[in-house]
Amino acid sequence: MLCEDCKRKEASIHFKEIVNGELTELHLCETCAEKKGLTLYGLESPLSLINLLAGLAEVVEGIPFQEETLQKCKTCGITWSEFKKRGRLGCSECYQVFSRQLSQILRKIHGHIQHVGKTPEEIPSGVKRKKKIQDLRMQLEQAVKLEEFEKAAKLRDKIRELEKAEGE
Amino acid sequence: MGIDRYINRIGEWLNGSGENAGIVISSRIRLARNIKGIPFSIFASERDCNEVAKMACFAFSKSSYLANADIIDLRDINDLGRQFLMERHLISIEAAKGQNGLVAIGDKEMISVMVNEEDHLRLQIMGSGLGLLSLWRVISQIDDTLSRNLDYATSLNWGYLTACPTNVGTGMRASVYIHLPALTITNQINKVLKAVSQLGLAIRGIHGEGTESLGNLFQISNQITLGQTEDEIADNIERVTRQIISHEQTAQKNLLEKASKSIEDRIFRAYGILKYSRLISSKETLNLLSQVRLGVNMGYLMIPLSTLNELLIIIQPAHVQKIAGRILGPKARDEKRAEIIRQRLSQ
Repeated sequence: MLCEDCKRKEASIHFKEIVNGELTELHLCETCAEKKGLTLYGLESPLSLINLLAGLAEVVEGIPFQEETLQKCKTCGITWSEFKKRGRLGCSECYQVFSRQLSQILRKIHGHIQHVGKTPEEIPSGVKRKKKIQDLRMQLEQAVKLEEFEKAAKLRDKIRELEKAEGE
Repeated sequence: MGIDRYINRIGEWLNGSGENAGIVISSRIRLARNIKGIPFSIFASERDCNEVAKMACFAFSKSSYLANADIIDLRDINDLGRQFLMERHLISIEAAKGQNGLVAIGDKEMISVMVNEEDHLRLQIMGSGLGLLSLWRVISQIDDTLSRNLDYATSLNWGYLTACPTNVGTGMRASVYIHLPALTITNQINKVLKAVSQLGLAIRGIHGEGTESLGNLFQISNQITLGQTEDEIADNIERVTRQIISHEQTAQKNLLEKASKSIEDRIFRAYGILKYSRLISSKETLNLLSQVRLGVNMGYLMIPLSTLNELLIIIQPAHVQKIAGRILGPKARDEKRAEIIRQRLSQ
């Protein structure tokens, strides 16, 4: 069997992977396998899905070729064909720019397109918290002015809690 | 000074405690995180990387787990030093090769955070034996603290956004480092490998090639990071690992019943070579350590698991040279390695 990549040398590295019952096969010569980072030695043997990403990105459907090649992420400047080459996105904005292609790829990789794990939104981020504290302080002033002391006490406790949370 | 202080220590994750520590050497969880608005590390400028490092260090200072971490700028240490950290599982190959990397190493080497690897942050926690769920609780807490001071890149649908789409979602890779000698000897390992991969998990030999893994050491990890919760991912791997452990134990029992003398002979020969050899390669060491570990599990030998675990780490090339205190060629390393093993096994 000839190497699938260069189609010249004999394929000596045969890579099979089954994810969600779908079999992916790759037959490469040693040189091409090495280029793709498919070495068979070392601690963190990169025999993984990552190297097959380029292959997955080739089969994105329903997006006109021209649109696909012209599309570029404004934040980092990466194009879709660059992603295909490197298998890595340039920045978090790329996920919006290439969302159509990516949702197909993510489905192929993970079999899902909806995150169900934890999100940092559950915890206000530093910036959000500071803003929240500011808001509460204004409400507190208002409450004191209006002599709504019970409400003010509650607001004060909330502010203290948030300020304490900033430490840890 | 510097990383040399690690030479005579061993990470707590190698202490041989925890569930099924005879078979499962360690459990590990890694989380990939990125900061909003800054290009991912591969595309980031040096200035971006410095900025990420600054923000990360500030966030570390707010975490009780990381406030006293040892922060090492990988630019300040040489190739041997990077390889040494890699052999200790504190940094990845990518970080060892990378340009603007930094690593924060927590107390007892349980926790480490790589900065400016493929993703801005790679949080890692390791523990001895099987115990992914409990590790997840700890690392998640650290992650929460960091997220209060870092604006993580996330999306409602896709969770944590990462440089590589294979990590999107939870950004979590959970794995166990497992020793399966009896399943290998009895030719059942291929069945196990196949079954595990059909469950959407990856299993691979850690050292060496494919199924003929050196030292019969394997790593089982999740492939999927999107569409499952962290608890599900950790729980899945724990359950599958427990099944594999019970198959390994049955295989060990069968070996004892059907071939006890030849197994016993094999174990003691391996022990003899490790104890008395004067030149030994890392490949030979890994294979012999596997037999000796089997011997300990079967009750033929009394050696603390922590010693065997430690040997797995310190017989690697950079460790051998760090212990020797100088650069050694392959032959000299084999000699020093044999000396280190003799010394450890006579304690």
